[in-house]
Amino acid sequence: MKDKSGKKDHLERFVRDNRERFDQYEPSAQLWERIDRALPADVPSPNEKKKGWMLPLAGNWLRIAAGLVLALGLGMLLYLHEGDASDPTAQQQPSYDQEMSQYAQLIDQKRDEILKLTNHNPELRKAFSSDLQALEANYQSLKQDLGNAPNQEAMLQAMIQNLQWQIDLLNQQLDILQRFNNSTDENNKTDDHPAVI
Amino acid sequence: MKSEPYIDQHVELVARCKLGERKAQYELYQRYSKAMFNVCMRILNHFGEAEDALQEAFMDAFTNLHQFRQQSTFGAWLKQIVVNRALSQIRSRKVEWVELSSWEQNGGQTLADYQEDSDELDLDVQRIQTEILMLPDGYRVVLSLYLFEGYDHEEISEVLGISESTSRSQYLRGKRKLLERIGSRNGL
Repeated sequence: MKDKSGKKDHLERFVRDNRERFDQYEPSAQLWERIDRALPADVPSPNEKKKGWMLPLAGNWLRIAAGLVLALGLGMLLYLHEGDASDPTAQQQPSYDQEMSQYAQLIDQKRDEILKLTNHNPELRKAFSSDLQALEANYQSLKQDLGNAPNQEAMLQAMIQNLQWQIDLLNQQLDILQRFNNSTDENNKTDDHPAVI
Repeated sequence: MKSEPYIDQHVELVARCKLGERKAQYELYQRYSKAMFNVCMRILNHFGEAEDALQEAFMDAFTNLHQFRQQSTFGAWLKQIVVNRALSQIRSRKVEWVELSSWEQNGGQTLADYQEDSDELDLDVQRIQTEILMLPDGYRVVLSLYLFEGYDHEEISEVLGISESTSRSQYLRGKRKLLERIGSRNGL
């Protein structure tokens, strides 16, 4: 800020060298209370109190899960591009259909369960479902591309992979919910449900 | 300020404050309130007014934290707000700024004269502290912004809405006054 022409005189040098010692005053202890009262109500703290340690943890897990989804999604794109030229004649096989409908069923079950468990926690429910949405959107776009894809098999495998990730994610969400419910019941039975990741 | 060299020190804390977390706001308050209160005290020279200015500054900072984009340190950003708050408070006192021209016509000394002046003095923190608070508002404000808060005359002219030369003259006169007072107490 100040020019460095070295023109500082004795007083200026002295102040600079002893700067911290000049901060001698302190505001009264009540000042924070005044600020506290005047500020709008604390936003995340009530949540924090209700949910204890679970929410930050869930947040981290979801972040990890989301990062995983992103990384795998990119990998899948690369994989599909590489596979483009390999086998243009592959047909959609019935075994895939079966596998996919099994997964879809599983996903529905788990989602129902999560909806039940998050009845009293709309915020968590929203967070969970928005994480799943990314995967779902990915799945839908894969499904759309399936008709035109030169490599049907790779596409179907990608879709199945996507469904598996959805199940993984739901499993993690269920696990979080179970831990959460255990902790709010003040039952430390969390060992019954070891973490998925 | 102590915390300025550590640019990323409060990134996480600031992020939590942006979400409105009271605990994080309190932590930031604890870290900065003392330094910022002293900024207010030097400008306002009044405990109650300094507390009012500090309260308003922290309220401003927390309310407008979304405007802070980490382009400077949080401390530097906060200090701007604090200085502005304290200055708007003191403006209501109708401080008079001395124009450089009238000051030189009155036989004002050059910067060099003051450098010699202060070289002869035995300085101590307490004495300077006391004597600065005894100065008239106009001198004290410019002196404290320049000496203590690291503002240059261009920046002072901006925040006070005065010309750079006025800032300079005000600073020189304030410094002479200060050194006179210290000198007379030292028996010089």
